[in-house]
Amino acid sequence: MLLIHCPHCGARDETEFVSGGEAHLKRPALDVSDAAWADYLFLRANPRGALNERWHHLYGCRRWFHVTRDTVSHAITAIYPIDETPAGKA
Amino acid sequence: MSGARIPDHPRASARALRFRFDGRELEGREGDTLAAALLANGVRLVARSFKYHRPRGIIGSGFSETNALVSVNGTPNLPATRVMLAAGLDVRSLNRWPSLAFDIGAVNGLLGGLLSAGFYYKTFIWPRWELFEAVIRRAAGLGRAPEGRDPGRYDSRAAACDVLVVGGGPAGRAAARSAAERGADVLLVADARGEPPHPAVRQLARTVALGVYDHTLVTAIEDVDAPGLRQRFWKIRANKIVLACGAFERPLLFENNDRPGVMLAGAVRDYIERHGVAPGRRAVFLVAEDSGLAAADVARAAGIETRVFDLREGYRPVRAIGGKSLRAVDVAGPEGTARIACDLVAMSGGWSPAVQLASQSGAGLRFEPGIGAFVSEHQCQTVRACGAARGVSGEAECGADGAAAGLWAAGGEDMPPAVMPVSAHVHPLPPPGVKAFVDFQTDVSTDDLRLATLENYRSVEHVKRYTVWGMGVDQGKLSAVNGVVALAALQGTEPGALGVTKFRPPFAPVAFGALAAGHGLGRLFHRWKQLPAHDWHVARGAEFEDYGWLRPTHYPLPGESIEAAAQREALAVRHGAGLIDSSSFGKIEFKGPEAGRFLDLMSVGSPSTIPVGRIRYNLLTDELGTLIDDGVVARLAEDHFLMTASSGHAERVFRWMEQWHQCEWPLDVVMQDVTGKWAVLTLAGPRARTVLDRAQCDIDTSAFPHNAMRQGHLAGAPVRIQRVSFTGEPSYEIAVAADRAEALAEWLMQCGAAEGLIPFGLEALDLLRLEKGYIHVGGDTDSRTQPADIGWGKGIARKQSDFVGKRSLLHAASSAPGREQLVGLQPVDARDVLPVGAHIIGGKTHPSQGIVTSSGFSPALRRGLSLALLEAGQSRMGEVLTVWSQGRKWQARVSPVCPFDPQGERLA
Repeated sequence: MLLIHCPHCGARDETEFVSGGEAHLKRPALDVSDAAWADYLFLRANPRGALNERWHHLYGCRRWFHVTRDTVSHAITAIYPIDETPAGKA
Repeated sequence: MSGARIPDHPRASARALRFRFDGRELEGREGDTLAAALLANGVRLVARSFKYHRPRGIIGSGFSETNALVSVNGTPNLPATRVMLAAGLDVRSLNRWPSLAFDIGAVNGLLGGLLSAGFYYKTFIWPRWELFEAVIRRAAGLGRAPEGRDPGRYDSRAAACDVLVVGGGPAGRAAARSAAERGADVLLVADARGEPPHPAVRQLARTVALGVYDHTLVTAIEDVDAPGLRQRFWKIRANKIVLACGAFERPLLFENNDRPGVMLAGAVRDYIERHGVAPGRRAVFLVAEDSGLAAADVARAAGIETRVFDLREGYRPVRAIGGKSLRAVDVAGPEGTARIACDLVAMSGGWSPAVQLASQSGAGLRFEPGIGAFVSEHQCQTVRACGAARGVSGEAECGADGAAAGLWAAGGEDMPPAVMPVSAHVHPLPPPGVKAFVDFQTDVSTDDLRLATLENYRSVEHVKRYTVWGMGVDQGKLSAVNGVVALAALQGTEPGALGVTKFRPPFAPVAFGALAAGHGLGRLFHRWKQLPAHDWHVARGAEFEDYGWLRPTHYPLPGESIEAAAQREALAVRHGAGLIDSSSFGKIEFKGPEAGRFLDLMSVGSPSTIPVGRIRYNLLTDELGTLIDDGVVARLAEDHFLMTASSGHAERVFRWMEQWHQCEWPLDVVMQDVTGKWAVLTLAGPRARTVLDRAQCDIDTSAFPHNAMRQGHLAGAPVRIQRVSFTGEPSYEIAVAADRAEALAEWLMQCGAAEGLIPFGLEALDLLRLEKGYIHVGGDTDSRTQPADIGWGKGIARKQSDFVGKRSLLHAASSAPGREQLVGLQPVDARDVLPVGAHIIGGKTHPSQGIVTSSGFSPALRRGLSLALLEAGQSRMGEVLTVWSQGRKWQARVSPVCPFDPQGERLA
């Protein structure tokens, strides 16, 4: 079971959280092509290794934030606010 | 009778405890395990095996007991070596019928040539496995699952520490001491009792670690055996884990190596030294390793007549002779084969590190030829194995290795590599045609592995599943290494190239009750949410059903059926007035200068254009354009909105709003789920307004149109009243502080007595909304249904701005012909009520062209009514179609979704 360091509440068990899947998807504007819209809806990087994800502390502060998790080892290497990218403020 | 107490051992004078084994009264001593007590009583035959019903005795003395599985006080499948003797234990052997000594199923043993690996799957495929399953399970199963509740009580606890040490042997104790001396916060999980190795070490005695999970979480089970508590389930989070789990002695592979009286040498030593019980009188030790020689010395010193054959000197066991008890063993050696009379064979094939937990922690496993077994290789920075668990032998050496592990765990330098012997004895494979068991518990012999190899199974994982090798109680403790070494020999490869199967939790069998501890059982397993006025409904005679909330279905008169009550209540609403508790509807408030803009982004409609004091029906879709909920939005003020959500979707809808607000559109709006703060009592019916007027309400009902909202006071209490309707009748949804719900319900009933006001439940509501074609999202819609499919396409076309799902709704697929659309269905025979879920058959592309989603017998129209999702349904009004369910057929006509008061004149 993952131990996730919520930026607001501290280290808590995974059972308090909900995973929101891959982060930093760019929601396209209405005039985007069908193909690009389908990419946004369905295509994910699904890497073997480091992945930036959204997590939600549902049974806690109810805040969303970002987690960088290794999909093989499950090691969490970074946690950063929902309005930032791994490089810093968006 | 063989086996006996050793007179000068302290256990011989311990307190006597009486227990029963298959009805026989026996006596053991306090401190005995059940296995020790059985051996002390000369009991050799303890169980029958899984598949062949072969007689089985006791093979080990600890976790790795695969033979002596018993039922104790009704709890099945307990290893006798792990049960502490207590006065009055009722112990029964497993897998025997009618009795242990005379077992009819043993005929399976005679048919052993037929019952090979995969036999059941190959033979009982035709016509249906299920027909055979019950008989086979009875013949080949384990103990019977108990039918009543588990009488044991279980507890659940959590703990955290710097360093968790698993194992209370020399290595584990040294590791705990060494880490504690350096100031680490140490928790030691030990199977045995005893003093902690250092005053600063917290110790969980009589506790077994079951599994290692991500981020160094370890689960463990503690035997408490107190009158009020059987076991305690632990979840322990550590910064570092030291695995000092020890090693398992390997059995030798020879014919009849499963006979009662064939034991592991270390177990024999354990019974003599720890329990003062001699498991036999004439012993033959067959050893491939020095610890076996030491065990033989212990046996000899205890007065057991002992002969020793060292396999490294060219000796090899051929077969055990005897049935229910051992009579002799054939040993081949440099001078030929000899038959040696004995009642005990002690075998020592070397030691296999207990790598189960290491494997679960993610460590790789490597075959180490020096010990002829697998050792774990720890890459990660949080887990290390030490002592026998990584192939170290000797008590002093294990202690030193443990101390090194403790140093590492306390933040010191990493452990040095373990020193291994040069090579281990390699045991030859028995010839074909003999029963030499690799996995005793599941009756997998070397011949089964041979057959699997012949049938071209190569991967150990595939062989495991085909033969069931290692799949039962054993979980690889005794069988993993012997199986891999045998398979490697059969495939002509090295054990290291084959690898070993992945180990999974739990390390030792655990009761479901223990795992469930802390989750809430019985009535607490799924916690009911009760309405604020629950007790009032009970007093009114309501029947309830669990809809996430416990809600009244109907308020039956004496002797009245649920159907009759629903008809009566619905008619009362149509002709007079009814009161229904709507408190479970979700209520979400949005406040802020950008609240309207945010709601526009989240909704199919445009809540920002709702005038203050007015209400509008609203739909929510996801990014695929699929309907996820419907409800109404009321505008309380310029910057203040109240959204309702379906009871079952309320929590999800609030989460949905929060997610989009936090992650995508952080607009200037705050939102709050106020569902539990307000109770809502709905007055519905043509007389509802009169009832409200009588209830001391300061809101002017003559200027209170449908789809409007008012705030005021009712009998002195602040209320919010919404005029919306889910019945087709004028309705006042009166929201009041939750703690006033019961008083308000009672007051309204008093005020409505003259109007014939009755409370009504969900069954009547469902008939009323069906007559009006009001939908339940998720019931009358599915994962493909979009707003246009339920007749709300125009709103999308009118709305210019973006909203969640809009781009998908603009896709050609959303307006493609043949989409399933919501329609009414009226059975041609008005008395019929179509089953929900029935198919509309006769489709062109697929036999089913739709399904019935809601049904009931309309009290107002005196006929069966349904809603359905039908291919191109909106263009097929009047068509007569065939509806099919479970072999029956009905004719039904496609009709508008709202057959009752289609213009909504009653709502004016």
